[in-house]
Amino acid sequence: MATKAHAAQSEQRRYLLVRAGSRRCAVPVDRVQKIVRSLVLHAVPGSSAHLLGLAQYGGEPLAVLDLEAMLDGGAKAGGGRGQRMTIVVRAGAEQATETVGLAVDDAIQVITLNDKDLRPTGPGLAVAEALIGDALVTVVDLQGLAGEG
Amino acid sequence: MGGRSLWLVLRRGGCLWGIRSEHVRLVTGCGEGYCVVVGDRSLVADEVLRVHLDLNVRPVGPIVRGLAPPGSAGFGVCEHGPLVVIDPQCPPAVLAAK
Repeated sequence: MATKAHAAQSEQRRYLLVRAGSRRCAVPVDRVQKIVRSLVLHAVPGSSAHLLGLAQYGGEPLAVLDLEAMLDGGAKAGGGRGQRMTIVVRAGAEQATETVGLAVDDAIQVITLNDKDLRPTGPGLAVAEALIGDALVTVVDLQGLAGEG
Repeated sequence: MGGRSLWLVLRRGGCLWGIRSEHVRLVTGCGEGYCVVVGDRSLVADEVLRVHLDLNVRPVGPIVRGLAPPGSAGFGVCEHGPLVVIDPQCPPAVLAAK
């Protein structure tokens, strides 16, 4: 019994639930370094619309990406909708992570999801969906964040 | 990108750009801006802000590389804000002289 209980617990993972445009997304908490409000972004001409701009964070340059646009694949004309928050995350493969900012509209709460409640949607950034109440949540895998633009 | 070096900090297209001064052959006024000669290329800048010692620079990682303008070698920070490091071999198109 104890072994079964342990196995069930090990399938649970914690996520930061955020709102990015019309989407609700679950970002693995262990990849989140900080949530920052109202970072000043400096647009970079000639960049993909997915790159909203550069910010200065803790004395370091931080590239801030549009999470909604990265998930949808398409570029938003003009880039960005004035997202209010930036989640500073470690993205990329586990052995070679890269610190980037993800612009979102809101950071809602930390949630726990069980792997068995996730419906896989494929490889890439959006890897699964989960139903929380009536809301469909996109589960994000930051290892799948790629900068093809 | 470590070590002590001098960097020229420019403004173009509303963005800050930095290039190691060793790559810069000449800076002259041209029109309402500046002409910056890098190797055999002429770049244009709206403003030349300053020469900076030991800029805090990070290389562009694989995720951001595909999103940053081609010719971006890294990102940095100076007292004016964050900046894009110019690859002297292939500077971003926004800096190219018309």
